[in-house]
Amino acid sequence: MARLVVVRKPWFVKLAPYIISAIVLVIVPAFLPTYVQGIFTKFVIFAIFAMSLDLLFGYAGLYSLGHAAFFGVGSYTTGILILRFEIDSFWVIIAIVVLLNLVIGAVFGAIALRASGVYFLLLTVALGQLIFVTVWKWYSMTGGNSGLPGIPRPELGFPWAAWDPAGYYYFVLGFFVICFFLLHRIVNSSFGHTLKGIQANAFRMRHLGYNVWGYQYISFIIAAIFSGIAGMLFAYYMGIAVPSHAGLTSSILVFLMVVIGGAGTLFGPVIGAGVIVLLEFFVSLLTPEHWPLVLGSIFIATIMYFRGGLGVHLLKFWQRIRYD
Amino acid sequence: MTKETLKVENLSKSFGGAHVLEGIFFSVKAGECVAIIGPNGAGKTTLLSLVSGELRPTSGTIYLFGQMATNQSVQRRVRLGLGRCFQINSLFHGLTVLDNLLLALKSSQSHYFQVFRPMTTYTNLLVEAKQLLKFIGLQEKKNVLISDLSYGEQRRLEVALSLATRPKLLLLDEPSAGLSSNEEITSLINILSGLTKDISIVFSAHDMDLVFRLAHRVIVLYYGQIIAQGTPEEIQVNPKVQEIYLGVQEE
Repeated sequence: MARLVVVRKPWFVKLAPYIISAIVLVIVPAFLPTYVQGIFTKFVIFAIFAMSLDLLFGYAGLYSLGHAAFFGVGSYTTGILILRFEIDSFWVIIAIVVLLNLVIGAVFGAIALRASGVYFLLLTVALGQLIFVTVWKWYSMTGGNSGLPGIPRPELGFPWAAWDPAGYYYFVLGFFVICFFLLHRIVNSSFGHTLKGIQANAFRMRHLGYNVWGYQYISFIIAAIFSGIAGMLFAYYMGIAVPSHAGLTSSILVFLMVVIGGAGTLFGPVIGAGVIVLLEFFVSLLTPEHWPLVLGSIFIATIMYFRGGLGVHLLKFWQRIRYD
Repeated sequence: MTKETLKVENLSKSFGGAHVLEGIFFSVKAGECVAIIGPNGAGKTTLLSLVSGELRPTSGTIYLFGQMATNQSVQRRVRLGLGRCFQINSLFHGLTVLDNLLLALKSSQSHYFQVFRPMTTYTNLLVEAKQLLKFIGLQEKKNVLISDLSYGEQRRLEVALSLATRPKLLLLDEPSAGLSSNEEITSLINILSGLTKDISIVFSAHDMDLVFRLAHRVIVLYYGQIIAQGTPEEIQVNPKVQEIYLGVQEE
C-alpha cells in the first residue's frame, strides 16, 4: 500500500517569501544610492495605490479606469492644505485626506455603480476626468497645468524626525505595512469573502439574498481612501501635485500594475508596481523614449505567457518548492 | 387552516408581443411539494422567475408568506424565506465547495458588513456547512474546487446552496437536468424528499419519475396557461394532459 510521505522543508524555505520581501524592502534600500532610494519610495507608494485598486478589480469585480481621481484628490488635498491654507500638521492633513476621499468615493461610487461591466468602466473614466479637469482648470486653487510645487516633507510634530531620502522611504514603508495589513484583513474577512462571491457570480449572490450593490459600494469607498493615502504620500515625495496624478494615464498605469502583478492576490499588485516602477527607472536611463514600448511589451507578454499575473505564477512556483 | 406560503393571482407576463404566461392562479401550502410540468416553451421557468423576483409580471399579484411581494426585490424575497435553485448550475467557480456553502450560509446571518473579522472565526457557520456537506454527501470534497466536481455533485451543491439560506419555500428549476445516472437522480430525490416536511417546494420538471415520486400536487402549463391541476394520479389520467404529452386524442 502506498504511504503518504510528508517531506518537511527547512524553516527558511517555508518563510522564503517573507524573508525575501524583508530583505528587498527593509535591508537593501539602506545600502542603495539616494536616487535609487527615491525610486523605491515611488515603488512602495504605487504598491499602496495598486493594492487599493486590487480591492475593486481583483475582489469586487469592478474594473475602474478612473481610480487615479482619488490618488489626485489625496495629492492635491495635501498640496492645497499646506500651500493655500498653511496647515502643516501631517495628522490633520491625513485626517482630511481620508475624510475627503471617503466623501468623494461615496459620491462617485453612488454614480458609477448605477451601471455595471463596461458601462461602469466608462463612468469611472468620466468621473476621473472630472477631477482631472477640475485640478487642471481651477488655477487659483490648484495652480492649473503647473501644479502646486513646494510641498515640504510631512510635519509630524516630532523633533527627531529626519527627512533624508532613506528616512522618508522608511516612513512610507511603514504606511505600506499598515495598508497591506488592513487590506489583508479586509480581503480575508467575511466582507472580503462576500466580495469574492460577488466577483465569481453576482447573479447568484443576489439570489442568496446579498445586497451586491451595498458591498461593491463599500469596497469602492475603502479603495478610494487607500488610493487617497497613496496620493498624499506621493505629493510629499515629489514635492509637487500635478494634474497628471489624477489623469487617465495614472489610472491606466495602476491598472497595468494590477494586471501584470496578478489581480485578486494583494501581493501581486505590489510585484506589478515594483516591476513597472523599477523597469521605468532603468529603461529611462538607457532609452527613455522607448519606455511606452517596453511597458506595452510587458503587458502583452504577461497576458500571453503569465495569464493571471506574475504574482500568481510566483505563488505557484513557491508552493511547488515548499510542498514538492 | 394550513397557511399558504405562495399565492399567485391572475399572473401574466409578456415579452413584447409574445404572451408567455396568461391568467395564472395557484397557491402552495406550507410543507406542500408542487410540480410544474409542461412541454418546452410552456412558461415554467418564466413562472419561477416571476415568483423569485428575477422578472417582473406584466400584470397580476404574488403573495409570499401572506405578504404582497409583486414588486419586491430578489433579496427581499430571499429574506422573507424564498430559495431558488437554477436549471443551469449557478455556482461560484474558482472557490471551493466549502467556500460556496459558507457564502450561502452567511447570507442569512446578521454579520453583514464585517470588514475585519476573519472568516475562520465563524465556527458556527463551519459546523453548519459540515452538516450540509454530510446531507448532500460531499463531506469528503469540501476543499475541492467546483470545476473538479462531477456534474451530479455540482447539482447537489446547487440544491445545497438554496437550502443553506434556510428557505421556507424552495423553487427548483429542473432539479434533475443533466443528471444521467439513476444513482445521481435517486440521490437528488433522497435529498429533496427529506425536506418536504419542513419546506414547501415548487419545482419544474420534465422527468415524470421525479414528479410522481416527489410531488403532492401537479400543475400543467401549456402555452402559458394552466390547463390542469391535481394530484399526480389525477394528472396521469387527465385526457388533456395525455393529449399534450402522448398525442392521444379524446374519444
